[in-house]
Amino acid sequence: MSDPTNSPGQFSSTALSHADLSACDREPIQTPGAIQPHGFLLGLDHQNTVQLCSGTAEEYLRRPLGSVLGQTLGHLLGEASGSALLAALQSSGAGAPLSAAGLILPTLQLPEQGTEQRTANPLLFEVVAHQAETAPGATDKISAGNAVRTIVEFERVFAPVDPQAIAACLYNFVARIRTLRDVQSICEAAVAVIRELTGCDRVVLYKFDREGHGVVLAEERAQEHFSSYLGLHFPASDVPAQARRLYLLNRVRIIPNVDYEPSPLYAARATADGGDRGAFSVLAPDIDLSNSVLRSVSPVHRQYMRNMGTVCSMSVSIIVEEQLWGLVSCHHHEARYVPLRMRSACDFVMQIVASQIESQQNAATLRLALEAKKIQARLLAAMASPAQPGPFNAPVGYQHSYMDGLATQPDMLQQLLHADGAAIVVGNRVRCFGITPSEAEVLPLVDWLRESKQDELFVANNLAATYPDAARFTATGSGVIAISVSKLHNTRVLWFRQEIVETVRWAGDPNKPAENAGQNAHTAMDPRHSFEEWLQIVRGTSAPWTDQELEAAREFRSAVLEVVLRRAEELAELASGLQVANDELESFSYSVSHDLRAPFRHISGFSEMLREEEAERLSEKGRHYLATIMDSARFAGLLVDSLLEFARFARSSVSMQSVSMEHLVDAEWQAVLYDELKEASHPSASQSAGARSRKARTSFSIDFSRGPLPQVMGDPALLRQVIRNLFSNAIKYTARQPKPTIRVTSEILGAEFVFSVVDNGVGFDQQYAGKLFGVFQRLHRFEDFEGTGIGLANVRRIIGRHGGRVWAEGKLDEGAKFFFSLPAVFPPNQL
Amino acid sequence: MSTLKPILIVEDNPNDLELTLNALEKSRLANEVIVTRDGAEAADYLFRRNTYANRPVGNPAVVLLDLKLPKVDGLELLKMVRENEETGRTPIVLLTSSREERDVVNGYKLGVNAYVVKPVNFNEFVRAIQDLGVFWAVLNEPPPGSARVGRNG
Repeated sequence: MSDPTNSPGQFSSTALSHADLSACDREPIQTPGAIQPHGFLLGLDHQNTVQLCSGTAEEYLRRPLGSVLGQTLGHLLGEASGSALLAALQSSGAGAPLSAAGLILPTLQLPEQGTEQRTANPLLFEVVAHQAETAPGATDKISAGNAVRTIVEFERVFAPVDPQAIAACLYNFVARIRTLRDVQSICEAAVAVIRELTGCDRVVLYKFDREGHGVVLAEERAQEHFSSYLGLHFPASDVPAQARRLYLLNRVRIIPNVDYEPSPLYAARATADGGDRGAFSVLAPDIDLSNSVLRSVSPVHRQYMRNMGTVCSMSVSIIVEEQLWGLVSCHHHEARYVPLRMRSACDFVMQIVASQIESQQNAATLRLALEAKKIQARLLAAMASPAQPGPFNAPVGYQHSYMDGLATQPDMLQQLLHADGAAIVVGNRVRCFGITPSEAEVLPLVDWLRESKQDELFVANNLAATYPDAARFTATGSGVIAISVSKLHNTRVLWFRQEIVETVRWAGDPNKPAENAGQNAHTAMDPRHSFEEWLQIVRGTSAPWTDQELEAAREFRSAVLEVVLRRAEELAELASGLQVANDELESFSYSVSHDLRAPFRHISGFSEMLREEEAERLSEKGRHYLATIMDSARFAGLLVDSLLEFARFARSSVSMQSVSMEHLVDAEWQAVLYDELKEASHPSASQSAGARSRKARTSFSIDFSRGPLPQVMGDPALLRQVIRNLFSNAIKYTARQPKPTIRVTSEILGAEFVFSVVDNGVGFDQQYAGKLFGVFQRLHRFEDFEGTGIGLANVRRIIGRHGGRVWAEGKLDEGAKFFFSLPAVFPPNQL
Repeated sequence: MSTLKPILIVEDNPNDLELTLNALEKSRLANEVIVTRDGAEAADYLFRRNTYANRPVGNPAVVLLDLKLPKVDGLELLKMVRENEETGRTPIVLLTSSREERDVVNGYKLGVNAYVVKPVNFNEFVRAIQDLGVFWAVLNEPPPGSARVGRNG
């Protein structure tokens, strides 16, 4: 029928579940008001008087309905049989009240119709009883129906079963199934044994997916009567919702012959005086037959069977964890009365199968959960201790270093959810691993997730259905799981699955479940006719994420949150410890400031007075000593001031803003020139002759240039300090150059801007480069280049607090290059 | 009666005192210089108590106040002076070694008129003292409180 090449199906599963047959969901299948005619039904009141019977009671009991209703079992079945049944009913469940589930009572013999001698050729009936339940909404107009407490069904046995053969078959099956380790082989064994027990032409086992569509996992059949359904999909609408509910309650159904004549139910009519012995009877449509073995089925279902080409249909529910996991369905080309005791054996088989499936699933779940736990532990370990700054370039210990740690284990990360690829997102920076959409495609997806407030877990295996832009990257990102770790920093982890172009073989076109409407009286509820294979190409969909994978993602998220929180607490603790240390340092530097500066001031002051008032009485040597004392005192004061400044940087808060490095560098060079100018016009009187000579040449003669510089995020006051220190350094060490040059440039390297300040001064020996940025570290003799050894330490400290690095390259007498880096895009709130 | 108000120096460190006096000498101000060696003594002078009970009425032109002082420290004295109605408007300059921010903040909170960190360099120190002396003792219009001097004395 359908040509697969012409009709690649493009329908959504949701459209399918709302197919026309949903009208079936409203059919009164629990209260059909009739039974199938291969037996009869009696409804007893609390005195065990018959208040309800099926039309077939008339023929099997050979009495008019009027003399069935109002009678006792003994009266109808003979004293011996009647009291045996009553006794069995009353002793049921060791005195427990009869439940809704059927109870099998002793087999009953009745004389064949038209024969007077009961023993000659008796009819055999299996007897099943269950507690009556009136359908909700039934009124009390038919009081007889309401009076029914117990429903007893008598099902005709056409061929007696051999209990020993059943027992042997079950024994062999149980022995075999214990050796099977996967669901597929368990299902195959199940259909084989069900076919062996029932003798039906075709036995198929469906498994229902999350949407309720069935797929045939296993099949046994006689080829001459039926084609194969193996691997075919059946749309969810084939089994209406209320049928599914019914299948949970009553696990076994049989329609031995599709062309049966339904036998209606009758109840005794209550008389005006309240008596119920009236000979009149009325139809009793409101009796709930959910648990009945003879229940008449929906005409739609019978039509479905005819369309399918089967005369007999029997099905057994597979119930796993209280859900309808699947069905075993038996078809036969002619009427087949599978006896009750045989059906019970089938139910027994399928219950064992269900428990085996459940335990296999549990074992698999456990195994996967264990594996996920192990991977999670390793990921968390990597997150907790990042060896070095990673792609997010976060200083160790800061928030984003977890993500840097995670980025060191991309394989593990993918394996956690069996994904084809993963992406880590911090702020607006993305890092992709494995097979994923491009970073440029992931970012808008992340924005969309944030805008649609997907702040915990987002799952899709057909992403384009919820996020249309994903249509552009179905190949790499049809399936997605995304977790949010930090709303504040927009930190997320995403896992991707590739598209799997799947060809689904439907048993008939699922878009047309109710074709040929109009030719049948049940127009709106005519089931589909075609069970021909119909191919659907499913695109834009990945392999589904399993419940275990969702659980693993959820657990990973909460574990990461825990790590982040714990680290935040540790950092807070550390910070409060540092605060104490800082406070101590502060009061220390306070007293240093006050107490050390004073004596230096005194030395300087008194030396000066000595020089002014007594200089002519001093020898040349004495004046030299005096000058040295004054120079030293001045330098000591400078040293104390620098130290205090250094301590102050440690405590000052960094206020980040956008800074133009071009403006900052230009302004700072001007400031350096201005200082030089001031120094030149007011040379410090206390400076020694040596110091003055070193300052003799001013910065005016320096050839200064810079390249284009970027905009950065930083604290302008602190960055100015950095440039100032690097400038004064460069000026100082180019002092002896006849043609001093200083050049500032920058370039972008990875996620960083790298700035360099290059001079052609005296340089330094590269092997000491590491010492340059330490406090009080000097590479030159004091008399050559005066300095406190604190300037570069300040540079390192400030750049470090901006998330950057400092380093230097140099060669003796060939100039020096000082470098510092700043993150190119600086995540907010990091400092 | 001299129209020039005296300059009050509150300084405990003899070296600093000598340097300050030397600097003032260099600035050739005609004002009388009164030296007190701790906060309590300065308070006695300002409030005319104990040894200063009999000094002529009137507030100094300016008080050069060290921050760290025995008995009553600079900020305490500043507070006392500001809280007293008669001395409340006397110009006070804090002279100190410390650049510490909290001293600056506290000083201005308590109503100091100027705050000078004593430079290590003696020439700068001389210049600072001279500037202070000229500004507060000569150029600055005396606060209204000084007017009472004439009536009472």
